[in-house]
Amino acid sequence: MTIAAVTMPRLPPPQPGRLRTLVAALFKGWINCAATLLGLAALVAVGAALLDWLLIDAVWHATSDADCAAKGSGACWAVIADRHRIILFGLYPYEQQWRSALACCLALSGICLSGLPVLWRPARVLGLWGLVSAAFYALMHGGVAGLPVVATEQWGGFTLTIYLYASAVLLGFPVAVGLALMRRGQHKVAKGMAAGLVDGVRTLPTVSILFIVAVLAPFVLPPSVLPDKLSRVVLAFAMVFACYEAEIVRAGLQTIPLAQDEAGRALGLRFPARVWLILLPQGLKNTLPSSVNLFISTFKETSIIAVIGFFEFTASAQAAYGNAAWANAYLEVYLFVGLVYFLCTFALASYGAWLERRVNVGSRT
Amino acid sequence: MKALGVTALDAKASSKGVVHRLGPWMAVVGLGIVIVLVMGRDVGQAVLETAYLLSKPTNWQISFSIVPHAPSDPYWWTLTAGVLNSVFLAALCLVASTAIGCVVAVLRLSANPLWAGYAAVYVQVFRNVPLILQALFWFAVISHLPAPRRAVDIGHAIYLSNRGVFLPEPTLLGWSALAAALAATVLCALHGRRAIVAGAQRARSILLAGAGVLVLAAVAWLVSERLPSLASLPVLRGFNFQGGIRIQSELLAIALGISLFAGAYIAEIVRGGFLTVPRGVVEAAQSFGLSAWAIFLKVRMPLALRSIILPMGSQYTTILKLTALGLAVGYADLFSVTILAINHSGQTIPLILIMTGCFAGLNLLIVGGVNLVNRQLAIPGYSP
Repeated sequence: MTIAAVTMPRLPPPQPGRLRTLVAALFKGWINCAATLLGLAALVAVGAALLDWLLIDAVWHATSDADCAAKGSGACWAVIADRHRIILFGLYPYEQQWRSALACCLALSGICLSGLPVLWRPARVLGLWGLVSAAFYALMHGGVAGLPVVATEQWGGFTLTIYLYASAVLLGFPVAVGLALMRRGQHKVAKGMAAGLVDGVRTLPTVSILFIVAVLAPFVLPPSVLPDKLSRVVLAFAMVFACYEAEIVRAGLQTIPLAQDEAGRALGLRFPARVWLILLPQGLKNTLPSSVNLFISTFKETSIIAVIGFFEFTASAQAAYGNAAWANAYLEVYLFVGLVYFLCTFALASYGAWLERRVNVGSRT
Repeated sequence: MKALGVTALDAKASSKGVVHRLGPWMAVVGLGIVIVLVMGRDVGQAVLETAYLLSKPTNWQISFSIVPHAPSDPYWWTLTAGVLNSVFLAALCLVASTAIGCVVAVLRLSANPLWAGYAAVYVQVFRNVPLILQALFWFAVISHLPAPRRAVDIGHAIYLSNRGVFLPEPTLLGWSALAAALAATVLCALHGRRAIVAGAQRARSILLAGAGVLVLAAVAWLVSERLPSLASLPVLRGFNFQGGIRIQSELLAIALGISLFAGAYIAEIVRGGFLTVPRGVVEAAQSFGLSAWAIFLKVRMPLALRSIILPMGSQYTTILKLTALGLAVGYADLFSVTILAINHSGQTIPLILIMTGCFAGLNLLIVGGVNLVNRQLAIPGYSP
């Protein structure tokens, strides 16, 4: 007689179905049940009203807000159709706006291309942005190939927002790394200067720094030594970005054990090589979420130059409904502009999440 | 032998280091002496001129002030009014955004997927749209409200109009009633907390009873005939309201904008804080038989607060800096008042320096306060 050892297969514990879990989560307990019913009622009421207003009763073709009101009770999307040129291009001369559109597409494709890992080599990044900025400036400013000159005071709309963002990030990032390294270095004066600049800039609201540089600088310094207003704003914005990013880079560098730097030293690597090959790749990786947050909030912060007299995206929106024909269509304009900002920041955030997954491939537990 | 070698090395390093270490400082001190020698008189004159300017009457009006202000007041008082306006706005937004953030975080963490979804939508929408756009949006909405004659009437006590929002103003009796209600609520909450932590069975019923009494009192207060003696109501006279408290559109727009915007960020901070509480700790508390409320009050909240408090502090300094966007809708915050003062007096650098000093001081106050709370909340066994 033999005893057979019967091994039972190890089955996972029984899981309730997805639908059952959902129903249990929604209707377990009477408080929860009431909350769900209330939420559903609100969803139906608000959703139906919104759908009515946004799409069903909306007016797509009209000549003014009064015309819209006569044609339907919903959103007046005709204002976007009628005023989209102002929202997108600001005060740029009407006949030349194709140049602004082309330049905007160029800058956007430059930003998208910079996100591709193939291009993450210094020579390639420099080459790409050298080409993009030369072409952008030639298109926007003109003066070459028979294009009439358009002064920077007339630049505006979404193109200006993209221009300001791309230049602030591109100019600010290397400065941020420099400031972070200065603040960690041995040299006390350099350390103090970097700390003073970074902490000083971070104490003040960004809008006040931009105001000082854009509006007040000409009262204090002779105009001959100053670049034009837009360039001053770009430089100031890059500086603000650099100061906030410098603290993130510094925090990232602090996460790297000292022994790594010493190992690099023992291998005979010089300081620039250690920074480029050992410190930066790991430091930037370790604080990637904070950097992504800063990139997103910098994009939103470009809107504050509306306060100092530039017709970027937000100010253009104000201008778009600020005439007699469309004065009551402010909701539609703000919703449209808000949606565009939302899509841009959402795209940046999704890219950031993808990047995080990519750089963490090796260290995933 | 070894020790000797080290000492010799140190001596060598220090003899070389004197120049290396002191050199830059000597350069800085030298530069400072040169600046003082060359510009000393100018700087002295500038200080005197600034002192004179600050004592001069402004002759201009600011659009809003929480302290009495008139055009005949000197510059220093006007700037002080600007500082107080900024602090007032920041305090308002700080309380409102913290309340919004906590509620949204609790909803987002709740087991009910519907409400968790609503909270997630709120955070995404308000965090991903620029604050200035939101403030301009609220300002446009308020400016397009009907005129006072056709104002939106909420219970004959609150009126929404394009001249701002009008609220009942509590009288002395009203304020004391409010204070008594607040004290009763706090006492009730404290008692309930102690009862819950002690594990009393009746804790929930005590809490419910307390809440019930408060609700009854509020209803009685609302329907009673004594309402006019507790508060003076805004009344339409001619083209505007008389009596009551008026909240001007600019303040309302910027306060709404900042509170909703910062509320989305605070919701994420609070949610992140609760997610850091280890599951094992909560399960250990459950195995001791503590009730859900007791676990929340004595285990989850203290541990979560530890990781919430510091990011919350930097969010509060951000709120202070965001008040400068009041300029976009015409609120008289510190930055707007400084700009006005510069436009009228032409003194740019001293006024910018004063504004910078005020912002730095207020930032330091917030950071200091947060650090103080952080030390109070320290838990033995956890790294500070």
